[in-house]
Amino acid sequence: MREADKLYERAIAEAWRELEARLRRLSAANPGRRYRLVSVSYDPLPGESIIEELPDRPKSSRPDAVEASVRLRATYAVE
Amino acid sequence: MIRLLCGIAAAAIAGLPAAAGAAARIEEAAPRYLTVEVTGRAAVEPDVVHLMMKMESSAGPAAEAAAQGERRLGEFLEAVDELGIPGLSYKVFNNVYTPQRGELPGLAYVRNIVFTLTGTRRAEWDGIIARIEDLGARYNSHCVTCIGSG
Repeated sequence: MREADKLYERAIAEAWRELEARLRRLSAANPGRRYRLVSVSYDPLPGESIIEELPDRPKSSRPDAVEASVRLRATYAVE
Repeated sequence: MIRLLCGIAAAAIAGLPAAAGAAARIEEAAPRYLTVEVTGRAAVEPDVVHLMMKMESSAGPAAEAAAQGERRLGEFLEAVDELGIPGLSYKVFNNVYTPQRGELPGLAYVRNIVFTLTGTRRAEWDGIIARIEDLGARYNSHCVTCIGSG
């Protein structure tokens, strides 16, 4: 598997963790309601090179990190 | 005829509450939907760096601008080869002619060079990139962008 694919897989896993955390908060705020997953769509967003700019250092000409991100949109039926 | 009209009226009256009841049941049965949108991110230290440099030369006739640009490009790439940087490769792209900026007559001839650096320790990157950029400056080339990939 290409490195970029692995990076996107990690981003998807991160998005799912965030989604589950939000759902837990929602369930806690609305006891007695059930949330049933109906559909999920995801868009991979373009990767980005990240160059840290520090005020006391000249701007580097090379990236410190490469970041991939994905947007997950999950629809739940509230029962 | 009278009997028929009465029949229609009776059906209409009988139908009203029934229709309203059905509508209410549909509303109760229909679930509410909730859409949640999240963004997941993952970052990695780059192990490949691409450095794009631009070389520009200008002259009155297009052929002269191109010949001058190609000669300088050849000299620059020869000088890069002489640096003997391990893991460095390059590819030359684009032949672009543009009118000179401002009021100057003639044409500018542009070529883009993409340098790719792989298999080198990250601690060495800054030094290597600085050497390429310094060398480029001597040949009227400058770094346009620097992209890292995982």
